[in-house]
Amino acid sequence: MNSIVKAEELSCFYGIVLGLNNVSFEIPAGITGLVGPNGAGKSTLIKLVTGQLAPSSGSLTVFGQRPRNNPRLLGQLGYCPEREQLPKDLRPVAWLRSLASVSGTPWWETRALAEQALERSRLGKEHWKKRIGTYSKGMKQRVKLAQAIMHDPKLVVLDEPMNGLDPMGRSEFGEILKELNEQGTSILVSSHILHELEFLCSGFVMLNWGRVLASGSQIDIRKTVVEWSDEISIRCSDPNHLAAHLQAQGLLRGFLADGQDLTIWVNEPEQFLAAWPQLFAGCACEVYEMRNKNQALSSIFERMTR
Amino acid sequence: MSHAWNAQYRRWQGQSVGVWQRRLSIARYGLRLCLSGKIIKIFLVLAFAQTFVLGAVFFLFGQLVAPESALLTWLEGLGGEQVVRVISGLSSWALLYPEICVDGIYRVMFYLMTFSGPFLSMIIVALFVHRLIANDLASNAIVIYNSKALTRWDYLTGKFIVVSTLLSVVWILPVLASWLISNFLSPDWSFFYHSFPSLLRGLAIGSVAVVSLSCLALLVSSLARKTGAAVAYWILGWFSLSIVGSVASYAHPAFNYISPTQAIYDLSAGIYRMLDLVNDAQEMLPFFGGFFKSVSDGTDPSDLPIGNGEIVLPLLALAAYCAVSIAVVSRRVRAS
Repeated sequence: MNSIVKAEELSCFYGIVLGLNNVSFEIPAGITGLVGPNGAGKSTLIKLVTGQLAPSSGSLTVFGQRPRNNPRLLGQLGYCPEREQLPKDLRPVAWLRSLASVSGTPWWETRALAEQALERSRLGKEHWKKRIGTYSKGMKQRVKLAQAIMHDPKLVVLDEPMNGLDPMGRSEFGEILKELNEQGTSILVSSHILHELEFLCSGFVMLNWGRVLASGSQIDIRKTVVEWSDEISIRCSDPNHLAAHLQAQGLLRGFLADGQDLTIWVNEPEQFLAAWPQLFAGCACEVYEMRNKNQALSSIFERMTR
Repeated sequence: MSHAWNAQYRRWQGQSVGVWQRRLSIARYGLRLCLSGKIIKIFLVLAFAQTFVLGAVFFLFGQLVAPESALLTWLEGLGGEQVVRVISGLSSWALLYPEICVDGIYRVMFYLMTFSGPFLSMIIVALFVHRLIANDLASNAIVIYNSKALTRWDYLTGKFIVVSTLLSVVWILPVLASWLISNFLSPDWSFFYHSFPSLLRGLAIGSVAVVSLSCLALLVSSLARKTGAAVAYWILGWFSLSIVGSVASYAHPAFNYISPTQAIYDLSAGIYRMLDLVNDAQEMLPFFGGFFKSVSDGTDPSDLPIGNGEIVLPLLALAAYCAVSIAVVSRRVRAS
């Protein structure tokens, strides 16, 4: 695996308080989710990756280098912190220009770069003349994202970026991150709400109490599931028709149709999941998505932390 | 899905600027923030106005020793030929002993200026100290700075440039500007040569004051978590250290240097060495000799209301303040 972040027996303690406890993992290029409940060690790991903390023991490398006191490496990283760190009295372009300049961009080029970053983070031009203090939570998140991506980093690290955003805002933020990734930027994003990241990230590092519960791609993590739930959610063009089709084959114990969503309870979940393409054949209905309740990452994570 | 801006996006391929440019960026941004108030601009103008006061005194002195100057003609018209004779007599000493008279007038004026320096510095720093580091700590902007391609020392260097630039308007700019202006307007190019030692003395005390007060301002700003507290710490610290220094000096005179103001005053006296100047004047200039003999019989220099001051102890005290400030500030702004 061509990893961009590599931790080996990494530990970090705040005095006697545990931050991370002897963890080893690798993060490949792409969008990686860092998930875990509050206090799991997500922010500690992010601070280690961005060089704001030094490991107590073990090692952590980003692009093969240690990030602590390494400005050359930090120039390749973008960091979007969890808390609001924005100057209320400034306009976004002025603030971004000063940060671009601090990151090494010649002053005369900072305006173009700042405006481009605001466009990439989709902050409407009509808001650029306003002071940051007047912005909504979502707009402030976009400005924070803009400062993180402005200098074209190879890796953007985002600490709980979707906190406080409404569902539409979260969805749009996810789209922005996907587009950044398509442009070649790797992303490490933390959240304690797993389903937010499920559709966004190709890989995960799952943390709890300072330990890594699982890490790797979604497929790898799903392979760890040994028990399948009898509850399956399907999104399709005609739920009633599909339910009738499956019912006719004697597969269902019950179903619930709601709009395009169909929830079914099957008699033999493992066999159903193994043979679903054949079972659905002959039904004039388009299936968009199918999920086993236990296959959802949130369920996997719940069982791991139990 | 390809978005319109996606197609337009081009990665920046330019050459990054060096670390000093980045530090200067912090300084430029900090200066803009610190100068955003009106009152600070008024006080900076007042501080710079010292240049014109000093320049005017030096210019008038130069005119007194210039033959056929407009000033002498004006004085002649005002008080008659007798006034002109008296002034010509006095100014002839200046021409005979320029190393005492020219250097002396610059030394006296620069020395007097050091008395306004601490007061103006206290006011001006109080007006912007909360915008230095306290602002970044309070808003957690320090986290963003720490994630950029620069070290905490680069950040502190930028902030130091902000304070020292503003304090230079109080301590260094008036000395340098008034020296240049007055010498360009002087009747004799030898004024450059004879006033140069005074300029060096002025720059020396100015540099020490700017560096030490800048370090202290950074310290105070980094100690405050709330911006308003920084101003309170600065003013209270200034006055309380002065009071503590004065009281403690009864136990031992060296404790006087607990107060940075007192340390600067004494260092200034040590650098300008006013007693030496008076003694030289007593020996060389009959008029001054007579004048000072009326104050003291000349056998004991301590009778005179001036002294040569100290250099080593106040300098050590200010250096200690700088060392403590750097140690504390660097810890306060380091990442986590």
